Amino acid sequence: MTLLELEDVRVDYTRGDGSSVSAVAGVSLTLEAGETLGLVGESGCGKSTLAAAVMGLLPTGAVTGGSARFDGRELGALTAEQRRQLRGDRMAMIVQEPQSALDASYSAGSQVAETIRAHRDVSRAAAKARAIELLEEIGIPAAAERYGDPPHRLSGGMRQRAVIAAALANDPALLIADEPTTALDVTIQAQVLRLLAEARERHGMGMLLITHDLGVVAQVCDRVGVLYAGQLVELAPARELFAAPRHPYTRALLAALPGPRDTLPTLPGRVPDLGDPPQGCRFAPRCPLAMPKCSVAPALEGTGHQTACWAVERPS
Amino acid sequence: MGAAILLVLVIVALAAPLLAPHGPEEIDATRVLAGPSAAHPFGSDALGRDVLSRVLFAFRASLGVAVGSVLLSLLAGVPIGLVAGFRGGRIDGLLMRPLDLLLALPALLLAISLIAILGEGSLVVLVAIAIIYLPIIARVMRASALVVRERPYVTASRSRGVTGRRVMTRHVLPNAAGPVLVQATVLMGFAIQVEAALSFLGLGAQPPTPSLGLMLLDGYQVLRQAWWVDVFPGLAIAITVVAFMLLGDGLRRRYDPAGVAE
Repeated sequence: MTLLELEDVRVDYTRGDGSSVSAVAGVSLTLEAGETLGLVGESGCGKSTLAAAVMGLLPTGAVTGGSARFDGRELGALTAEQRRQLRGDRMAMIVQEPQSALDASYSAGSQVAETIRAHRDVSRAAAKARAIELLEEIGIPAAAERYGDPPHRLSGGMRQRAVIAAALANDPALLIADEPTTALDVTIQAQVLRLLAEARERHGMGMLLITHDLGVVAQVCDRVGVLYAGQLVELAPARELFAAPRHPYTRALLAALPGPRDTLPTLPGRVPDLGDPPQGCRFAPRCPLAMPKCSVAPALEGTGHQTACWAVERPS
Repeated sequence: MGAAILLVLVIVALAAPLLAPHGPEEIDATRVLAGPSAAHPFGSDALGRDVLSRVLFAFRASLGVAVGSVLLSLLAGVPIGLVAGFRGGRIDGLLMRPLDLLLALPALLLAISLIAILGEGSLVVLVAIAIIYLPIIARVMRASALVVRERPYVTASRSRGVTGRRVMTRHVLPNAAGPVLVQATVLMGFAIQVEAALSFLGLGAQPPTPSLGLMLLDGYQVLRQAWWVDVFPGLAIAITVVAFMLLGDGLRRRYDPAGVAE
């Protein structure tokens, strides 16, 4: 079952001086229930903006285009209140900087309970009991005693678990995890990834994993999308993407992974200014295979392994 | 330091009727402009009234006006600033533009005009000071809310489907209150001065009510013969203002390290 269907999604931010920044430029992808889709790219490539657009959490002044369907419902057609009812219930998000995702004025546990009460008409006590259950499930020992602990009294790993417990509180069908492991050390990183994988299996949840960590992607993702400057340049099964990357940008990205080599290859040039992006393919100015045709944006084409590049041979 | 001084001052204000050796309006024709003595440590004024007792009662009244006016401006300014900062956009403009207009008028002129309309008296002074402070409180609240609403935990709570109203009151307000607290403390100090200034001009408390401003006016007329009539109420004002400033500085270090309060 297709859970999330993005079609030519565009997001423009209006800057203070009236000019606009094209943060996401025509992204199309689908996410099936139970599937994990990784979204990778450098900072500023539009990953987080895309997540915010799906959640309905874009800042005021953002202009969206295209179509985003969730559970068959067109998100753009919903009212603000309908979007709120989806958030934290049917779709959940682990925001970037999970270490500061809990309000220090309240206990971590009560913020899990708050999520339940935002969507379920249950008593305070029932929400608390359920929150303790969730914290227990997610691996916080003696959750009942720790329920009232303020976030700063929890270790980084525990805090992240509480954040995940809050996200999973109402059994969401879709979980967007925006850099869920960035601030954690490697052992806790592995634990958190396992937790997310378990939750996905238990609830058949679809997961959109946003990261710049290709190692994480290789570990947990079924498919991977590569974003560059707001454009989705390649979308392929994880195994295939790592084994045989097609888009010149993906190749450069993978080549830049540290390995048993003397020198790290670097990609010449820099990410374009999204206030004045290049016409057509935004990677063209840095691309070794660029050709005149690149001034027209290539569509993402192919079955299974999709690429948006004129230079790559694609099955028509 | 500031907190300790203020604690003493508040106790003194509350206990004024117990501490005062004489009635504040007790006239004694035999003691006109008598200097400080054991029975009258601060001396007596032109009507032979005990200056210490009058300072105590006047201070009590001034502190009441200062605290009351700031509380009143908090009551109105915090909700306005919070909604303006949190919602932003058109609501922000709609709420803040009239307050900016208020801010553009000189404070004392505003107060005098209000008193001209509403009449004299301590209660009018209280309301006038509250109106002067309203835009300041609202602006600090708004600026602080603007900062806090971008914090990850606010986005996180929205991503969990918490209603906008709840996000605003439960997550933004408590985390944004620090600078407002600092600002309110500093403003209380200034309010003592403003109240005294208005009473000095004859626009605030009316005789025979003891008022620090009125006492300054009385003493000013006999300054050459009896310095004590002016100096002691003046000191009371100075000490109180300094105490509020010190407390404000202390609170600022703790609750407003970024310096959002003006």
